[in-house]
Amino acid sequence: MSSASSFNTRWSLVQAAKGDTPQARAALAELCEIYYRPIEAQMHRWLGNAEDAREITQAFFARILQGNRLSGAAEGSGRFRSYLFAAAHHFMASHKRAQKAEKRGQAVTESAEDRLLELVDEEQHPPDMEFDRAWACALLNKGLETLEGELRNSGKSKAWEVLKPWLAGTASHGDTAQAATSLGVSETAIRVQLSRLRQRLRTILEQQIADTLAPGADFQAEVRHLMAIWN
Amino acid sequence: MNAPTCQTCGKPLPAEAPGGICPSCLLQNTFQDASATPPAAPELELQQLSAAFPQLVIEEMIGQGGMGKVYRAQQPHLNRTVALKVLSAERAGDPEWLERFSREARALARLSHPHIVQVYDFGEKPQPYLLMEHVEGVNLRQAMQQGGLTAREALTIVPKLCDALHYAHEHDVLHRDIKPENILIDTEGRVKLVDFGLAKLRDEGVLPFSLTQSGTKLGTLAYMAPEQVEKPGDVDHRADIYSLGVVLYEMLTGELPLGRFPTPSEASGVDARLDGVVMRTLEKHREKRFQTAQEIKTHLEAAEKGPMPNKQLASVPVRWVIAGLAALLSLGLGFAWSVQKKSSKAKAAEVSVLTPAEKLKAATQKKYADAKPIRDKCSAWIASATKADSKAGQEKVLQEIREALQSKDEANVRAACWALSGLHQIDFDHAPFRPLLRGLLESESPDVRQAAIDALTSCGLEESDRARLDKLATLCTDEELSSLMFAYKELFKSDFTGANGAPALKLMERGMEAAQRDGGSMYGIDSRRVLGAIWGSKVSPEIEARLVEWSHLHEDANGDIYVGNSSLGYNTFYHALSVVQNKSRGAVKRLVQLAYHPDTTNVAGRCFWGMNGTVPDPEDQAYLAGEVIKLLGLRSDGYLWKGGLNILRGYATKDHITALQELAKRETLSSENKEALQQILLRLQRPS
Repeated sequence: MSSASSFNTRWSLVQAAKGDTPQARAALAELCEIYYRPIEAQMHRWLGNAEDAREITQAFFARILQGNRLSGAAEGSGRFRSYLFAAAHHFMASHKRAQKAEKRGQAVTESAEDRLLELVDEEQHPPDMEFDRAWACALLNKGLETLEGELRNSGKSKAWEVLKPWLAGTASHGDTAQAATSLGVSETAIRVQLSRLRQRLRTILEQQIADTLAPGADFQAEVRHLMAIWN
Repeated sequence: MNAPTCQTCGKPLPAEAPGGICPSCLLQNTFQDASATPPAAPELELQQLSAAFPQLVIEEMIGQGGMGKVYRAQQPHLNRTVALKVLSAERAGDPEWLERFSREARALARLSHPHIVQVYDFGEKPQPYLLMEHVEGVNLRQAMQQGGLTAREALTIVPKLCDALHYAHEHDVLHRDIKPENILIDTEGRVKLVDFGLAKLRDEGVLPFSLTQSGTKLGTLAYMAPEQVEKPGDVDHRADIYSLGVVLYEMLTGELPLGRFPTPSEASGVDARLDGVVMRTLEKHREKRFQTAQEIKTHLEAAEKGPMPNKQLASVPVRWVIAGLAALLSLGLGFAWSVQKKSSKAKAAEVSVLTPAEKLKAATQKKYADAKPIRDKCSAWIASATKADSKAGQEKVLQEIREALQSKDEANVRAACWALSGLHQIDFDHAPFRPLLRGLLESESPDVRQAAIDALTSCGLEESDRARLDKLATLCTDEELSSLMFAYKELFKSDFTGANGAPALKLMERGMEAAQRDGGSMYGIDSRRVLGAIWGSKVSPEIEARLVEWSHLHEDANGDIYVGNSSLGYNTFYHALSVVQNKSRGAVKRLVQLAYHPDTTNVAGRCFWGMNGTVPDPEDQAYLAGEVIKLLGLRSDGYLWKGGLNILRGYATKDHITALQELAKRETLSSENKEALQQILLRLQRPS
């Protein structure tokens, strides 16, 4: 996959512009879209409260999407995933600290919180398995949606319905002959269509993953990680 | 409450699992599918190509191989999608190579067949290219990875490939690189062969063919006919036939026929009627293979309609049988039988226990399944030896094999023996292995002995081994019979006459005894496998007499043969009598008699196989030709005619001219047969 080494990934765009251009902001918004639910779930795990998690996630993304908040972390972050996780952790920590301070009647200035965000160090926070799994699910969901959209646009909704369950394997989905009958093609044609579908899904996912990597980041390592988190 | 788990991998399903699909399985299937999309071509490359081919809109790279890269492109003025194959630039500077490329491309462009990818255009500038039909689909390798093919699918695909190959061969174009990667299937299931003749250009290129070219070469190696590896200069269309056989074998079993390999029915439980066709396609010596691609098709079709050599699970998906058999075995064999009977809609009450043949089949398949780790180890050795880049690398693997031969671990020893039987593709000194293998012939374990006999046969037997084989023949188990028989064949150089006849006859008789006891199963130690060594050999009068006798095994009082219930008689004349090298008048007469049998596909037609070239006495030849003419005057079956014409081409003499002229006057004669007869006549009438 060569996209990861090119300078056109969304993450590299965001980094290069330090979040300042409208394009960079749009790119960042797109990147964040996939991560909204995983971050919310992670906040829930940290805070133990769904209501608080929802609120703080909103606040976190609002802050991120305002831009101007990325300068500190941009240089070292090869992976958007790690950056975002660490940033979310800092945001949550500072939010908690602010709450405590509020209880004690002290004010926490904006700049202190900013500094925390800028001090993001992904090395300090080993990626959380649960977060990574949620991210993987979100990634796959987005990929499947994209694929479904493509097929629907080319009038192949029926094929999608029949073949979708097969994407994860063939063991429990009956025999190809049945699928072939329902689509009115041969069994071999089913295999071919399935293979094409997998190829396309792979391309879509690769593009999505590459978009979250900085130039020079190890794309294959990211894919390996994606597979390893389930064991 | 238990969290839901994935039915396939057993891992818990996360709540946010996409569309209820297990994310782990989805990722595994998406990313571990070897049908990987090729890396996207850099923008720059696409731009340069677009500039070089202004009449095309280049869209993306869709493939990459030893010869160059393939791109999908649009041809706007013809409103069609095409595949542009751009050959690597390194050859373009060599005028001789370019000349060859043009010649080959012209031949390709002339081919027009529904199962061959059409070449639209070719050229040398700006760099050598082929413009071809674009197939929206995947290759057979990728299709096979989508859950394994069923035997039924394999049998739909292969006849089409036979048609395509036959057509190309008739146009003097060889493929030379038949493998799953070069067989495309589109989204409607249509089959197309691609890359005809290009392998020749690659192999005749700057570099001499070398086994040390690892990578792409290795992938291809398994599909190459032995002569293609040993004498690349002397390759004809029969190498394609072998490669197609490897593809067929792989489709049916999911494995490559490497080293000592089982028949497809043993490997995966597919219909045993296919075994003969597949194994003949994979014959090491091309003379013994089918001689045309069309023949494979004919025989596959005949096998489908032919009698069951044994009660089979017909047209059951291959994978089902593998998975199903293990499950059935674990539930007890009696149950297995009743399930099979139910599926064949027979009366369940009729049979309550396994027949001897069924028992043997189950045991053989279990044995095969149990040997999987041994096969894997053996394949790993063969693969690393063939891909080793240096003599030293090869030597390291051979050393490992040598050590394994001396180990105490039986599985290790067997794997090493099998590896030696399979290492045809590299050159090495067999001498150091022979003493080790001879030692293993003394082993207590029949499995080890059998593996050692096979390995010693591959390493080359010496005269001193005769006594060892004779000794083994007196104490061996039934399982070792066929290995011993092949060892004798090697030692005797396919000559079972004179003093060589007696030991072979003894083994054959034991084999037949076992086969009759076990119901003539094709699976085990039956006559077919023992008689396999007779194929193409010279035999003693005693052996021939016994074969003639056995060809009567399934006759009733009227001389009618029933081959439907058992394979014994059928095997005897099909696998042995009609293909021995030196037939006497007696054998010829018996075969002619069988050729009148009403079952053309299974009896009559097969008697004519192998007859041409194997009747030494000119008087017997003339007798045979006369009988064939008589028979063809009565019968119209294409199968019979084909074999008959083949005999007439070899054995008809001037004395037959009148009879042949009469035969050519038959009204119902097809134009093809008429023409063939006329050619034979022309040759006979030519002044000598």
